[in-house]
Amino acid sequence: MTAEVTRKRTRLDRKFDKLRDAEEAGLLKRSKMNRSLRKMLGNRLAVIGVVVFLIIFLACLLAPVISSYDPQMTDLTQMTKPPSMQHLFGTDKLGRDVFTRTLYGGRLSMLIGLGSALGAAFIGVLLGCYAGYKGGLLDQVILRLSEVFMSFPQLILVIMLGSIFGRGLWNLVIIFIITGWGAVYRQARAKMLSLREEEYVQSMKAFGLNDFVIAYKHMLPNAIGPVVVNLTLSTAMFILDEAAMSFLGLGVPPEVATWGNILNAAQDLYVMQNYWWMWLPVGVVVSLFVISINCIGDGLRDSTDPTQQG
Amino acid sequence: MRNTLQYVLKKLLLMIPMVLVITFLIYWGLDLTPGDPISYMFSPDQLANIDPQKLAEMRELYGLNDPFFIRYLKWLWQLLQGNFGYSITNGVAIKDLLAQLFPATLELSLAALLISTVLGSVLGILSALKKGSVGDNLLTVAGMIGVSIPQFFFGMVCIVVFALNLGWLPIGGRTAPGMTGALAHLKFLILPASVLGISLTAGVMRYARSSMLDTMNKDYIKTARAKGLPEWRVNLVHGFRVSLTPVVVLIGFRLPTLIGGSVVIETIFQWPGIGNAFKTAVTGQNYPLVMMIALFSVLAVLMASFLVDILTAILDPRVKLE
Amino acid sequence: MKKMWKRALSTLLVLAMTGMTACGGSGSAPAADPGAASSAAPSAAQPAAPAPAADGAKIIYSNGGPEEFFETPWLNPGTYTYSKTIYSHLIVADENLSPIPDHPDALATYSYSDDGKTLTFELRDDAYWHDGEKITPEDIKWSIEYVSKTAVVNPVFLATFKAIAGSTDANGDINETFDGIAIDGQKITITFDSIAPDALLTFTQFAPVPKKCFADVDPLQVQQAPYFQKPIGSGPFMVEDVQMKNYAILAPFDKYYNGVADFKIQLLPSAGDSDPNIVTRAKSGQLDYGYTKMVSDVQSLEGTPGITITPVDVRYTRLLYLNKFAKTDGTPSPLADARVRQAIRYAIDMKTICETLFQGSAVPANSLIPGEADKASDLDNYDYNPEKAKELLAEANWDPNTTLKTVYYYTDQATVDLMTAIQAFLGQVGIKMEFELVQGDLATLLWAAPADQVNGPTAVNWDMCYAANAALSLHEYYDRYRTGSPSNSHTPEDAKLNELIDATNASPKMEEQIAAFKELSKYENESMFTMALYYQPIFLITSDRIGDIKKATPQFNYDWDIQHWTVG
Repeated sequence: MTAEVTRKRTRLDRKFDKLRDAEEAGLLKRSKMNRSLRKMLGNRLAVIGVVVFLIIFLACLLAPVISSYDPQMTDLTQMTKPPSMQHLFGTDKLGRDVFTRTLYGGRLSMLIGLGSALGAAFIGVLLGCYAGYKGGLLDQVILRLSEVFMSFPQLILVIMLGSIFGRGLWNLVIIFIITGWGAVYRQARAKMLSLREEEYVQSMKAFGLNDFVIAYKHMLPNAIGPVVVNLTLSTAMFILDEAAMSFLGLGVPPEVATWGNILNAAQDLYVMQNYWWMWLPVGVVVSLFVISINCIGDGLRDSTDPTQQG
Repeated sequence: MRNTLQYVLKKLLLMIPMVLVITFLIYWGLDLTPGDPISYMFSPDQLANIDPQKLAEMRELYGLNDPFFIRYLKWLWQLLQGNFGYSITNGVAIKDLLAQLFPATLELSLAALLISTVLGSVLGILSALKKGSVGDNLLTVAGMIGVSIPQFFFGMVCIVVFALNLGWLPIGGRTAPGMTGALAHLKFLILPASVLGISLTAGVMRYARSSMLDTMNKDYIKTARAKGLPEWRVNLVHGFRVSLTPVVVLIGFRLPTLIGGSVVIETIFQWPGIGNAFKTAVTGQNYPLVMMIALFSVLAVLMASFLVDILTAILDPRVKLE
Repeated sequence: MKKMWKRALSTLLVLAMTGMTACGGSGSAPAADPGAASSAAPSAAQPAAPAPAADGAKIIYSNGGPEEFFETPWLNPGTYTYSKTIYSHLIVADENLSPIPDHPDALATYSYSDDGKTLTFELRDDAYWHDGEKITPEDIKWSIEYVSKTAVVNPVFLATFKAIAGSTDANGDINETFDGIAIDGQKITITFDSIAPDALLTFTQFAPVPKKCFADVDPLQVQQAPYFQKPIGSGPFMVEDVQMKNYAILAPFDKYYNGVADFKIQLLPSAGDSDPNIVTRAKSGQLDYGYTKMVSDVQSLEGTPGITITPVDVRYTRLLYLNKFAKTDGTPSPLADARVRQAIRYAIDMKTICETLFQGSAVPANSLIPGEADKASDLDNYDYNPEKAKELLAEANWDPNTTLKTVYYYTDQATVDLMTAIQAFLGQVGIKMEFELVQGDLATLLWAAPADQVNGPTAVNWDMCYAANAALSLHEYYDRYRTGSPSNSHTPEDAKLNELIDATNASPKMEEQIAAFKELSKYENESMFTMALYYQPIFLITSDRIGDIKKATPQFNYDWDIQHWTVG
């Protein structure tokens, strides 16, 4: 049937052989999985990121189940105890369980990070989508407005709002949203600007579809990719911002356990050198969490970016 | 060409109302904030000993009793006449203060920018060339760590290790009396600039990497390769140069933040720059100083975004200036 | 061609972008100092400081250097190393702040009449300002008059100055000049028309300044005076070079009348009396003299080679002010009942807090007065007794639904920890407490006195206020509880209390004052009109290089004889 051709088998041959074997075994069926998701799963870093993220996220979410301690409960007889079976991460200067505080602190830090990122994304997309599609005066006004808020020094805003409304978790979230939405707006708007020249948009317009429907129902799904990527990255950024604000004494009131506030214990050189358990585990958890989010974000970006093959 | 010029002019003119709006908002916000400069001049315990009547007289003297809108207009009027005002805490002319603060912040920022740009673009491009290799992954992770560790934490660890334990570098500050020569000065700069630079590196690296990957997929690179040009030439001459554009843009966006100074880094390393002074001024409600620093940082942000707009338009012919 | 043009333009723009940032500096730089604008040569732009090593002078390091300006020496007379070194005083105090007659470091010799009505100074003839000009009696007189009009004046000073004859007009406002200060040659005679209990103490701390430097300076804006960018004093050291926020160099003043030092002092900047970098500075050899109140600093520094830490007892008391005025809605204050106040004190285990939270560095307080010799000997220490607290609360019909609002203004971690601990202790006896950091116009938020200081209602929105009292004189502790004090936001009229406070101010004689304070402390201890929590020593940090110096409170001026220190 086929003539035997004798030649050296190349790498290409082997590759094709493998492909053929795979096909015969039925492995190459069209996957039902989303292509982006598949690409993402192929990215080892991103997968590790998701796993780490989920571990920390779930641990914090289930804090009351995992730990029997109250994060605020002081016990002066149990001060500054090193890690043990009773206290996995030891206790702090007031005898509070550091592990418990880390878990509960994580809840708030995540709330701040995710809440701010979501809030900023929501406002940014809502405005960017419509303004980018419609253009005109509205777009110009919002664009200027976004510039105003982006160039507004964050520090002033933090101190000002902090002292007007009192320092608190939600104020921090509001401040991060105020300073953060502009970037999302510009991103969404830029994407919409290029999308609106697309033929499908033009044809829908020609059909006389409602602007809102075109913008939010048909164009938005095509523009949301980079925003989602940005969402993850800005979550990470806001978590770090929270820590920095705590360091400057402008964050959430110090009695509230957040990652930033717990980590602040390391400001004290004595604590830093002698009670490593008060800051090192928290520091590692914060860094791991932020790294994992960044890895996910990177993976998302790579997998949703059609210009990058492979 | 006429169009470009018009565009530039229009953009520049648009900045004026924006600056007005922003400065007005800041002034208003400061006014809404409880307390005033007088209440921050004394420690809370001492306030209990000071006759409230004297405090009231001081407020009058410093012009703090006028409605804030009048004070804003006064400030604006002074500014238009080129008078930057005087710091409330020490009465020093703000232009003199800025002349002290700006060089310090600029020096730190430029050093950090240099470190992050060189390190970031070199590593980014290396990892793009070896995409998917162990080295690429390691670099990515390293970059992630750099960007994911809280800055103040990183800074403190560096002080403990390099300044206290090893004793190689000073713990902070910018100058010492009798210090001569750039080398002595460099010792003070190394730690803060490195900490700031390293935390900025990951961003540049990420940009450089993806932009390099982008470029390597471009047709003309493939053509160059097909023509049989040596690999290093393709990478270096054709790939590298083009992929630096977005990096330049990124730097452009960073610059204003760097002018404003990094409050955290300046605080940890006792660097006498803008960021540090700004924080003190805002918490102490030192209106005139806050306003001038804010004005400059706002201007810097607006200018940078304007220049980036124009730069991208020039570098990328597909973008039209409208 | 077009491409070339574009490239050129883009290069230009990049350059412009970098340039623009530099322009920010150059645009604002003073014309006289063009060098400062260039970021390339920042160090060259600064005036070359004389290298300490080059001219052979030894140098010691201290902190508290100026960040924006030199603090005036009248509000906190000795808090800053520079205040202690660049100014001299009419009288010199010993380490207990008692005046030493005819001390060679004093600007004058003095005599004080028995009735406390006349204080006479004979000014030295060989005392000079740092600019080389002679100190005149007119400078002294003017300094007293001027400082009285500023806001930056220690309450002890002000009380003394206001007692000088002719110092105030009928409305109680300060007069331009005081009739009660007479000059005759080098002799200055001060006549008091009311009792000045702290007259001598005042002049051990009060720093005169040269009149000529304040010609056009409004007393209420004195902090802004150019003088405080580089003050001219008359002490053993003079300001040689200042780089605000960087460093300040103090050099020995060669015309100082009681010996010239053979070393310079370099001050590193830090705000107020808490230097966040004190530990790193001491560990890296950049601190030969400094002090801290933070236990954590002491812990970090213990065992550091070449560093000695000496706790010094000072008049520094941390307390809870208790607001006993009725609420604005007319309901009585939850703290109006003395039994509730006592219960709170019994419920807080200060001993454990001091031992654990403060690592033994703080001492539980039984009165505002720290010194045993100055207070009654049979005070109740209110040792931890939750049962007693519960009993007292039951007697007082304490409503467990009441929440006490505690405010504080310290931003450090230790304060939050303490508040958390107190909250926990109070919770155990059934008192709910919440705490909050106050910011903003603290003069009003904390100390606004009610229009009616007899009955209230209160003008502030707190039940307890965590604060500190750092007192130069014991009078500073109590005078603010007197009905009529402008900052009495907390204590309704109490005839007995007023009487006891007045008794402490009735005599210039120390023994009589102490006797009155003993009575007052007894009443304080029983009625708990204010709640002293703990005393805190100050920790003096010295390096081996400055050898054995006389150690006492670092916050006030005493005969520390710095110009004769032997620096190794």
